[in-house]
Amino acid sequence: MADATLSRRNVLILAGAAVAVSAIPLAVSMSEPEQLGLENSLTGIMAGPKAIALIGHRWMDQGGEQSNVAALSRRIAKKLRDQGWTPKATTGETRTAMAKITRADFANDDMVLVDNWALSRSCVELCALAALMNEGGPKSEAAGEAARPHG
Amino acid sequence: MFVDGRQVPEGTIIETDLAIIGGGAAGITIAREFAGTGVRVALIESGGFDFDADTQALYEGEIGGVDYTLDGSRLRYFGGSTNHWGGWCRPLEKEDFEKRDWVPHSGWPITRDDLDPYYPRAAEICQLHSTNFDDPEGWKTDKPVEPLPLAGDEVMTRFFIYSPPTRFGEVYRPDIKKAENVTCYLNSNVLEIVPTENAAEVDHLRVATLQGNGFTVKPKTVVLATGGIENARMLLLSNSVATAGLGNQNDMVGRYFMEHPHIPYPADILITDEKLVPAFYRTYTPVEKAVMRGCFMFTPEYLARTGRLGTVMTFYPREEVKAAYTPPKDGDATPEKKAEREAAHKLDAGILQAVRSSTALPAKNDALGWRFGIGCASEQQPNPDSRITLSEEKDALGLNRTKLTWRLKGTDATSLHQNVRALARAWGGWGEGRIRIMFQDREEWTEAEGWGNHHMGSTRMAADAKQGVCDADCRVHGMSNLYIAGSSVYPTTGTVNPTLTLVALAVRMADHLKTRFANTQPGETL
Repeated sequence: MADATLSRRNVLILAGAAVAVSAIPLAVSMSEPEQLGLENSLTGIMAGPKAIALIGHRWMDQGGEQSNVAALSRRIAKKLRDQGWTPKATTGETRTAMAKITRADFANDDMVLVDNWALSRSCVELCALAALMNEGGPKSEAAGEAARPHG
Repeated sequence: MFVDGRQVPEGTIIETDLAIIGGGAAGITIAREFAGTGVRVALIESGGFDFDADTQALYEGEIGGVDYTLDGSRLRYFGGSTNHWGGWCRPLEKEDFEKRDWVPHSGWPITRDDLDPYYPRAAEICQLHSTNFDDPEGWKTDKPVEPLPLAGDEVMTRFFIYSPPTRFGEVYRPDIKKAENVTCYLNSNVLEIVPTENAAEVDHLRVATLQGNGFTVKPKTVVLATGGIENARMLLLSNSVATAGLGNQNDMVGRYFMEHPHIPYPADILITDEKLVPAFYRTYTPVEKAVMRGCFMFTPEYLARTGRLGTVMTFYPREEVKAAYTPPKDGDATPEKKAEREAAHKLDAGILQAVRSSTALPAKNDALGWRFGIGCASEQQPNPDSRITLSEEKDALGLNRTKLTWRLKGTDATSLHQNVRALARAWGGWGEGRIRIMFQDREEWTEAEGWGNHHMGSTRMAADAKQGVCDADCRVHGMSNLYIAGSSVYPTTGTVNPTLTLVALAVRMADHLKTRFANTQPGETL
């Protein structure tokens, strides 16, 4: 009878092990270099990071989902993968996949209003990512960003 | 020929075959259709050839519902409201005539097929030079007329064809003048349509001028063509025998008044490249001999699927958006205003860069795109509580003025708001533009932001006398020889401007009356 009873200590050990096991797939699917690669891919398609960061800030200010760079980039990556995208994709391929998921959002009425502008949810998430990355990154003015080279 | 009613001796009795009350688009059209026939026509017009303030003042009245202008939305002289007509022409859609389960009180007693034979003639009368409303490939142009490839099946491009616009009073005045069988009595106001004792037939018309002389017109048949508001008022004023007014045995006269709510600023568009928008969307565009303009409408499938009312939208370029902000050169703006403009610019730039980060390519230089404005007109749901009644106030002729209680429903607003959302889906799905939804949904719609001077519905057409004022031939239920012409007979409004259809209906009525006259024995009342 005693063997069948879990002590409080054993419960804590098993719970800790479970947490560790559940974290393995995440760690496997998104190693740090890959995470950076993803962020770089997404940064690569931002036509004007500072300008779109404003949209992201507006969205968050008006109650849009609060998140962080890693979570947002993973969420966008999941949608991109559904379109056949891989972290090795070129900027052009990433852009094509982003366009697909954006169009799908509109087709599904998955729109977010930012200052009454009807935007696709995925696009707003990209803007929010820009906002969060911009907070930690170098400041640049919107002016002149349009001429920034894109892949 | 023209006769000034002020010169007609007091007490004169004028016998005629057909009396047409009102010299506007419908009245002049019917009179012209009879020119040169053996039918004697008296066309009775309240005004003269030019605007006159005293005559116009007869249009003043009382407002009970949504704010409106009774005297500013129409004109009371020869040619009627075509004297300020904008000239936008397009037939009603096939579905506009049908009963739609999601639109209470919808359904005409005629179909688009019934009216189709008359639209070409109406187009000719309105000087359109084309009836090609839906087939852009049918236009012979140097550059193909290609609609924007918006996404989905909700929004479609359709085309208006412009009338010059035809000022019926000026353009067709020579025809009326030379028609020996048509006499137009100017400055002559019908005070009452007086029926026989059983109110089943018009006996005579009491006519007076603002100068005080009066005369009588004894017609075999009467067409009431005084416009979408005045038609109802005239029936209600004709109450010496039928105390509720003519055709009003079921309390239907004046009910279901409708307009096309016009919203000047329901949405904004940002588009990556102004050149993507063909010129025909932006302005009056000549094609062959006609002048047309593209607009957005909503597909019948979408409207049926979502239970919406229709909306027509046009758009126009406003300003270019560049990455760098350049303040406008007006030193008078307050610091707050300047800051507001800069913030608005940053938002525009952000939206365009978001578009260029997803569905469009990055800009090659500082030019990010263009901001376009949208204007729209929307259908309103027929509403029996939106109505015309008689005011206690009297006009200069001693007649009760109009009291207009125009009412809109919250569902009308919801429909428009949802249509703007559908436009956002179509533009976003296409990829080169985004929509800012400015028209917000609301529980009640108590204040109109604008209207089209389109007065419709107050003497609606219905097969069942309990559901309307006139029948499919526009003859007043229960009366043998009283007809109604004009947009007051529309049971529903569609989304497009009403003039072309009311002219088509007038031509159709003329055909109907010609047949009746041809089949009537001499001396017999129609």
